Amino acid sequence: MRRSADPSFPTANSLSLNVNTSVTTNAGDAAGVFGIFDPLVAASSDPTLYYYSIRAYDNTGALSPWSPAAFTFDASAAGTQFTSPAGVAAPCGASILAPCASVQAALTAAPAGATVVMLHGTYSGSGNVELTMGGKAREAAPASLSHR
Amino acid sequence: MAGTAGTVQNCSNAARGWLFNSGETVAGSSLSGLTILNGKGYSGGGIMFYNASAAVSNLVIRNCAADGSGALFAGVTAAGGGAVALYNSNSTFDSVNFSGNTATEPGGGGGVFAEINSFAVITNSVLANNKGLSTKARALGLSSARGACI
Repeated sequence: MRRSADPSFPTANSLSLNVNTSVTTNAGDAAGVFGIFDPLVAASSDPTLYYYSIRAYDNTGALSPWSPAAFTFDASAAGTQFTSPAGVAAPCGASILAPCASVQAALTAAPAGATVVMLHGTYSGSGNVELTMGGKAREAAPASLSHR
Repeated sequence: MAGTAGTVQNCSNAARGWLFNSGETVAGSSLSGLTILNGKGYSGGGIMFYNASAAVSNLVIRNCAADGSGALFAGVTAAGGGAVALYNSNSTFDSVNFSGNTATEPGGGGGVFAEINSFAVITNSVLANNKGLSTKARALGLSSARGACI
């Protein structure tokens, strides 16, 4: 999975894409504005590959069809763990659909070399401070989408 | 900083954000893309590197404090590095915004403090509105007599 620091990932002057979040802008926005991203959907052929599609309003308010998958989210890297402030108690983390409620739980569960994906939100309280990687080679990164 | 707005770690002035103390290395461990707020520790309110390192990028570290309270690691003498303290660490920082952090140690670096064989490489980053105890060393603190380099 590419990280948000990847220069090919749109950041400045673009929408921030939140995993599991639909984004809607108003009809009548300027033509070509990215309007709606469909909810995260796993590709049927590969349950570790999720994708977003995009559609947009034109300046008459007409809505375009869904695009082909425009952004992908690849959770196939071995041992990738997910965490979210809206997550769940153990067992958790192995699937983006059941992220751990605490970052430390995901870090502890992650094998060496794995990425811990911190889904967007505000983390606080026990399990979300004084975080340690325990000496394993790990990567903590925000949810990001690679640009196909 | 791009990419940091949506993922926030609020330490609520109760503890530091991250502690690297198990021999992590720049090659093996990285931390990127989040905002660390209101961290607090004896040193390194946002992140403490103690005999360990990591590659840090695309981060915001704001309103964190090294206030001399809490656990003290062996050999650490200064409540330095409101945002980040390094002790025997060669961590790297790319595209990091250190702002509004404070340290109580005179000369301790409100933003970053390094001591004991530390070598911090900071690139493409912003250090703003950080405060040491005195008017000195608001942004960076360096214990040069102890083999540190920024």
